[in-house]
Amino acid sequence: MTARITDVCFSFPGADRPVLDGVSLTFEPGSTTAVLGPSGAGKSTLLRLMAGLLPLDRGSVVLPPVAGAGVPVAMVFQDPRLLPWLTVRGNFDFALEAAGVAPTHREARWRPLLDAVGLADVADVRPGALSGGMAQRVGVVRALSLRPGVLLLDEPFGAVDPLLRDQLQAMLSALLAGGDTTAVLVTHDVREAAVLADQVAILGGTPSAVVAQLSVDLPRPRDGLGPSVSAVARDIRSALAGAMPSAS
Amino acid sequence: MTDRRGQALVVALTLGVVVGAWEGLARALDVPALPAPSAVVSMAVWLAGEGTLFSDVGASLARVFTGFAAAAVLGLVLGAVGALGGPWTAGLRALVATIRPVPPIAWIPLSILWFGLGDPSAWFIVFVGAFSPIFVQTCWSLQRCDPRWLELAQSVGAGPWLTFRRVRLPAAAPGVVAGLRTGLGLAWTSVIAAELVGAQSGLGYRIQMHRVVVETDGVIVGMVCIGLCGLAMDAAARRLERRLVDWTP
Repeated sequence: MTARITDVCFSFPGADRPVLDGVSLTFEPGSTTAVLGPSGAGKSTLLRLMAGLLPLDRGSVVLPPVAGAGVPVAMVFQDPRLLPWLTVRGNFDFALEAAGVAPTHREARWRPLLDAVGLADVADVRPGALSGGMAQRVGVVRALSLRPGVLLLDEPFGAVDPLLRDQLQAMLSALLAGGDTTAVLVTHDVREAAVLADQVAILGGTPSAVVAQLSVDLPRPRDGLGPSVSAVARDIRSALAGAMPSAS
Repeated sequence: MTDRRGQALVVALTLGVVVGAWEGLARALDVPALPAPSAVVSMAVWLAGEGTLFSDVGASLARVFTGFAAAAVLGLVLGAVGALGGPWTAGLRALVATIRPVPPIAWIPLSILWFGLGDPSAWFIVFVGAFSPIFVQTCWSLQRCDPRWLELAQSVGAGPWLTFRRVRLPAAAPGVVAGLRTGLGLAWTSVIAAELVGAQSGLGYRIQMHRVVVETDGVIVGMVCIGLCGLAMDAAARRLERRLVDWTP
């Protein structure tokens, strides 16, 4: 079964017009979709609607049922959002307890992922002792340890420096490769979209809807500086330019 | 380093000058109303040797801890109830807001009528002093949890009880602990006030007795003790605070 959203509409309470009006997208199983658009286009709002953090005004969000001990959806926020009073292990435990994973099965969920992102020895430190990039990796591991059918990422690497961003993109790409997790990534970075996405959706207009959709058929792993990624990034940028409000 | 040493020097000089001037003035005037620092020190030594100093400190501390313990339990529980929000708890919050501006000493006349002279009356005054800050901080800290943490809890599907245990409670802890520390400070000032009029032991009672017989050096010994005990209690509370909420920056 495929995850899809149909005719999604949403207005914030008290606002005089909706943020999103009639957004429909289909997410192939195991694919990554990048969502781009001007600031205020409701990209983060769309993710929150998909995560069930905000109520839909109209339309529907259909998430495929997940096998066994997974969750339908998990979210990586723009900030790492690790609870500062818990250790890294405590943060994983909290999420896994909420997901109903038995205490004895929890470490097996996050340990291989934490090793894979090169943070094997931070399990027992508090988030305050981590750098921004490390904390964001822990945030990604927390979401993936829940084994989500759909992983939502809200500009996860927006706040890290460019060199680190390349590394984190490669890490995310490797974590998602071959898995059956469907990812939806909100980003401002056309190159990030070209490196990570199979499908690009561009939101625009007032209220927002999908104004352009591109598919990215490049082999993986992709070289973020290679000519094919650059060509795709240019295509995305021109599509995005069409969605920008005219500067009159 | 030089800065800190310079500051220490200034502090020592200031204290030296004030105590020296006090000593000089006291000797020049030679009236009972102004005992010399040297007389205060010898009185302190005598009171300590006699043992009353320690029994008075012990009596005051015992009253503080009894009243404070009751205020902590009730302040934490009712503060948590108040944090639930809703019309019924709005009444509770309004009640505390009404009583709060009345200082603990204003309760002393009623307290003596209700509980007589002695420990229960002092416990009550301590309770009144410590309760408000504990209640208010608990209620306020639990209510104003950072929405980002609540959103995270919601995103992983945490239920209300797990969210309370792992998110709301620890997020509120720094504010709650600060309320307990403020409450302890007010408990100490309240017990002295209560003992001035309604007790037969304790530091407050002792300075009042010294006043009656115009032993002003004894009054000042008591005042210094009150200050030092308050300082020590706050330092201990601060240490405990740092250990309880050691994750705060």
